Amino acid sequence: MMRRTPHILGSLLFAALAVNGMSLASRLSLFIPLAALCGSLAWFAYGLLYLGPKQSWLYRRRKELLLALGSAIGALVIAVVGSALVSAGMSPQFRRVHYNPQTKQIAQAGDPELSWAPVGPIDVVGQRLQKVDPTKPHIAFIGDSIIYGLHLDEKDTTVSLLNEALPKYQFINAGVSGYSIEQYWIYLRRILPATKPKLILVGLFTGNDVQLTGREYTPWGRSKPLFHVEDGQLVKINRAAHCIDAISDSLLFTVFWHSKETAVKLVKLLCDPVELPRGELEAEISKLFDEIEAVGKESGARVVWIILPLRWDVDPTQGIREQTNYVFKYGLLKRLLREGHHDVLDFTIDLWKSKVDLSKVFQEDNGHLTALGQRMLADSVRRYIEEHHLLP
Amino acid sequence: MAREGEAKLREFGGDDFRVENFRVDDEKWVDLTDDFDFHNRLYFLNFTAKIHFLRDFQVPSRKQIAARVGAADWTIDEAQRDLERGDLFSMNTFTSGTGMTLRAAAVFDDMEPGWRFDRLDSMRK
Repeated sequence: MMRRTPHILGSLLFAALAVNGMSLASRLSLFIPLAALCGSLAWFAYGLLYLGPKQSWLYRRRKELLLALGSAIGALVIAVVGSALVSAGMSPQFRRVHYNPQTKQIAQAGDPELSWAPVGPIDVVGQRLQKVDPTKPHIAFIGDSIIYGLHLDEKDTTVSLLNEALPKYQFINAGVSGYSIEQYWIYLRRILPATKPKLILVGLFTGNDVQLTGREYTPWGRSKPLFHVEDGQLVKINRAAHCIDAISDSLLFTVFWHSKETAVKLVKLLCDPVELPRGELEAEISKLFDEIEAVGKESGARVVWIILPLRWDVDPTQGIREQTNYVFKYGLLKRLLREGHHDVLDFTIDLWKSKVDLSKVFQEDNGHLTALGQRMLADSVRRYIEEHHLLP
Repeated sequence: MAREGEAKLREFGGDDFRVENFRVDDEKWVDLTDDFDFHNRLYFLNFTAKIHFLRDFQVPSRKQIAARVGAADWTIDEAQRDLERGDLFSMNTFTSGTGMTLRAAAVFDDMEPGWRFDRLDSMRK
């Protein structure tokens, strides 16, 4: 008993240190503690089974017990590795974000170019699966879940209201939840053959368009296309897309997705995805703006950029100064658009001037618009179109 | 960066005040992370400057700034300039011909690598 006590205590202490060392800050700080934990388990087993009195039951059954322990650990490792390799489909986080309770569907599927995209024939566009009407001139409205109209009935969306107000045209809701600027560009090029728009409206959301562009991972467990500017051209630089999608969609990760932060940290740790440094990120965004304009010009369509603010962007006199000045991306997007000489409709200004109660305009997440917010956006867009004579 | 900070302060002064003296005091790094784990790395270059007002200079309060919104001649740039003035001077009125010692900071974004001037702000200790 005395002989094995120091070994047992030592192995427990070592295990505690190993667990404490798992900071998830880097691969090294995950695997070294894991190896140390295995070592401490082996040390514990040795102390318990081999150093006791020779007449004790533990000593006499040491080989069987060691076999049982080894088998249990082996089975656990096989289960963990196996569940990491088995796909459970799109992550629970992705399904939560993209599920439409009205249609009880997720109108998205995996896509080799966009990572996820609406499904349907070529003349069905956007997450609302809108059928293109070939008898009317089109206006394409590209964006993310703000334009899609997350948590709203279709009739309450900006695009639907514009279709009602200007029935001579067809406004097409090409908004897709979760997209960022790279995906706006790629998806716009994809829908052009069917839509041939006279005008392209691009909704830029200050809440996350900057943060998500310039990364190849998303907070809902999918990879996304990533580019950087090389010799004046956009060059794709994804390196971890397969790893991100495989890990995020695996059976094992369905457990981790109960905590989005933990799951995303693990994806980053295990897959080491690319993230552009700040200067390259801004260069990429500016170039994407130019490329979207070029796509529009090639199709004979003017492009108007619509700044869609967070609630806290609208009235900076009410906001927390540090966040308004340095964290929120309204100022950065405005600057990049101004530097690129792009046509801009700043919805933030319209909201601020209206002095409307912002709690009625924004949903609880302070980013997505309510039905009232969508109506106000539709009014702003219509006014802008009329003032600038953008449509015949 | 000190030269650029001073130049930006002179530019900010425009026809309102003249910078007579500019001295860098110290610096502070700040890292602000948002809900998307996006890091905003900032460099505060704290300075002391002697300035001389060329005309009457009033810094409106946040309430006064908000009250102007929607006026016929209002622009968002006006509001943002007034907010930045408020960050430097607080709500105050300065008479033409008077001077003051301004302790503030020139804030730079870390462009990884390199720096870009972002704004003038109050000092960060």
